Amino acid sequence: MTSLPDEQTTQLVAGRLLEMADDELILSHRNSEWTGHAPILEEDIAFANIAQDEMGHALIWYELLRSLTGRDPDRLVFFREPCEYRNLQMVELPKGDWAFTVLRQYLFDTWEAGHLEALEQSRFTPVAEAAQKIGKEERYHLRHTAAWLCRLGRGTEESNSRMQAALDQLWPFHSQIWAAPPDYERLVTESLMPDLARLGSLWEDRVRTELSEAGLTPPGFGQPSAPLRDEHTEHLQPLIEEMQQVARLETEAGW
Amino acid sequence: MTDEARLEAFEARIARGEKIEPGDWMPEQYRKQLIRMISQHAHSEIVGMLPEGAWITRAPTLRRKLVLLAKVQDEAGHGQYLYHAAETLGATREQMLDDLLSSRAKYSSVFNYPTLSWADIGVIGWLVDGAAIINQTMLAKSSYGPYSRAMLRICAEETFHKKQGQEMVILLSQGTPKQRAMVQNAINRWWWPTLMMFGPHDSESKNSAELMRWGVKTRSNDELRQVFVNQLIPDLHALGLSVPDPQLRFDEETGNWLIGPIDWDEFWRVVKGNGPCNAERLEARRQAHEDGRWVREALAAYAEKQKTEGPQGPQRPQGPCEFARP
Amino acid sequence: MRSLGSFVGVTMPDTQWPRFEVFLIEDERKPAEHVGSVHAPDPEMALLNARDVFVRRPHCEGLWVAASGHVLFRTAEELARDPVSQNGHPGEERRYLVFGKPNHREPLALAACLSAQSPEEALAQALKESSAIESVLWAVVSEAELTRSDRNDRVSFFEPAATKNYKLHAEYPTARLMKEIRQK
Repeated sequence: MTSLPDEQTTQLVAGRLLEMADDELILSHRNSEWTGHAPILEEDIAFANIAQDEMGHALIWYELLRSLTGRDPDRLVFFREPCEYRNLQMVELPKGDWAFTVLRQYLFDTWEAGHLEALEQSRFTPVAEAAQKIGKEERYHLRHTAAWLCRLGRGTEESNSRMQAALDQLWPFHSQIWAAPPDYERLVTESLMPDLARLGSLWEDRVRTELSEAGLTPPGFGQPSAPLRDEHTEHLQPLIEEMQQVARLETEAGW
Repeated sequence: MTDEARLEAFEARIARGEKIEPGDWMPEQYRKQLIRMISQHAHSEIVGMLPEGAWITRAPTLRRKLVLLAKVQDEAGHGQYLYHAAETLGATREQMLDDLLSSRAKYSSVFNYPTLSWADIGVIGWLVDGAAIINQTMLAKSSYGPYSRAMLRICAEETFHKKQGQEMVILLSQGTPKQRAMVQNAINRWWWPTLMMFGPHDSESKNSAELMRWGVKTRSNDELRQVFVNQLIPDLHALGLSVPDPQLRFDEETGNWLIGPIDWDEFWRVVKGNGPCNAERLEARRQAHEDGRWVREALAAYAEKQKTEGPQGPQRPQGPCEFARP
Repeated sequence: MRSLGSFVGVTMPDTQWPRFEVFLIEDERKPAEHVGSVHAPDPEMALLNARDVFVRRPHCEGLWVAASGHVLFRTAEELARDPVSQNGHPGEERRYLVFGKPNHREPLALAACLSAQSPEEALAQALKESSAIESVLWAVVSEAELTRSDRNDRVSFFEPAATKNYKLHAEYPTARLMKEIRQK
């Protein structure tokens, strides 16, 4: 189907698209901070590529959102308050060291790969088509980060302990990834969006196996319950302020 | 064959327009000059990522963000091509980077100036990359094959850098009073450093004569600088923008825009390491190099293990080579 | 300088990792071309790095990488000075790919594929068999030393670059904008 049945469904789909777009945007922002500072020249290029791809994905989801709600992507990104952002807490955390960046990227890429595959089955054609397009690049990202995961996990003692420290820091945030927004069930019933809890358990199985192959163990603790998407860490506000500072110098002009 | 006869044959090849390839005989001085020049050029690309890279997180639209990311990524790519060209002459990337990080090597002094506003990004694209393209178009004709090929690749990609910058400057110059002031201010600060990019006057440049004789360069610094000024001034004026040079005038006879004197004291001060951002730029590169050390070591160690313990992780089967014609 | 490890055929006292030569297939109907090199710790990373360095824009349909130490380069001038010995260091019989660069404009592209006991022998054979082919530069590599992207990689490796139109200078109508402003 190319249009949604009613206003309520439209709002629900739009709400989920905003979450997906914000995830890509904020992760891209963090990754772009490495440009010019990566461990080796080739990786400056590779990581700038990943950041571009994610920015491109964010743009695809924001454009789809515009087609549903009429909201302009640039207005949405540059003139929204931090508390109105709906991204995962995991992606807003500072870039940390290279191990942290690689591990976060690995967790996100593996999640996204499964999520996109499921989205390709959406009955809402624009979502299915966008997922297919994004999925092509995502497969490459996955190969890139999977290669890094196993090399840093099994490289030296130092690289292994840095990766383990990154995992200890990130793992408590992982369950938010499959937490569904209110009334999301309706979208699952109507085959517009995938069942996040089911994807989440598949994802966790996969990730646990691969992490263990890389010599890493998820810690035994986590958050008692996943925070809602409107709850953020202290790191989001300065990020948004930096991102919006130029756009807000002239609020009505073109840039 | 005596060295003299070799030199004669070498110069005859260059005169015939042939390219010199890595294994060919070449005078030691030709090799040295090329390594110096190409590695300086590579360092300029790498250091050049920093002043612009700092604005990726502040780009005011999603499209500008994408474009700037792609542009800075290209600069890393261009540095990569250039280091490769120098490596074909026997230089190692480690040695070249070591020279850069320990302040022994030079790079384009223009990257030692600060980027103070978003308008700087447009002005750098149009002016700094525009000037670089003029120089690189000449170097694409260079007598050393790998350098010339790197330049062809770079020029093809760099046109986008210049045009995205010009597009921004056009937009800002036709924008609000605040935007116009912003872009004029950026031009005022970048104008002279950009003109200095072409290097000292030909009479002052100790390397120029040799580089021209061996076909590494085919046009002089002053000639190229004039091409740039003539290209840019009419466009800037059309946009209602000016350059900070009270002596600028159009010479009817030659059709050239003539500029006032360049402050060469400032040029040499910045080249020698005392510009506004020299220390900061090198510190950023050193920090990245140090922070990356454990990463490079870990991957080298993993590769070593793979070699001695056999491949780890999933292996992909490989069929015979696919190619169109033998 | 500390020794940080090595890969087959390459000694690497270097913090920049070994070099791998990169060959690119622009279009399936054209032979592979040598385009440059990347630094990488191992062949898989070399292939990924080659993709990121050389496929920032289209066109590409395939990539090969080989450790630089395994690629024999010879210029026409070197060959004239020092003709290749037939049996340099003969080893077991392998398939070799020989690349030639006909002149300064054309790329260093795949010209022959043959069996030999060393890269030197492969080059000598190629020179003998195709004495009509002029080349200013030759490169020889054993097929077994190549790591290649495969057909399944195409969609994720190469197709996405085609959608990044913001890298194309034609996307920026600066000439038209300037003209419009001058006319005002």
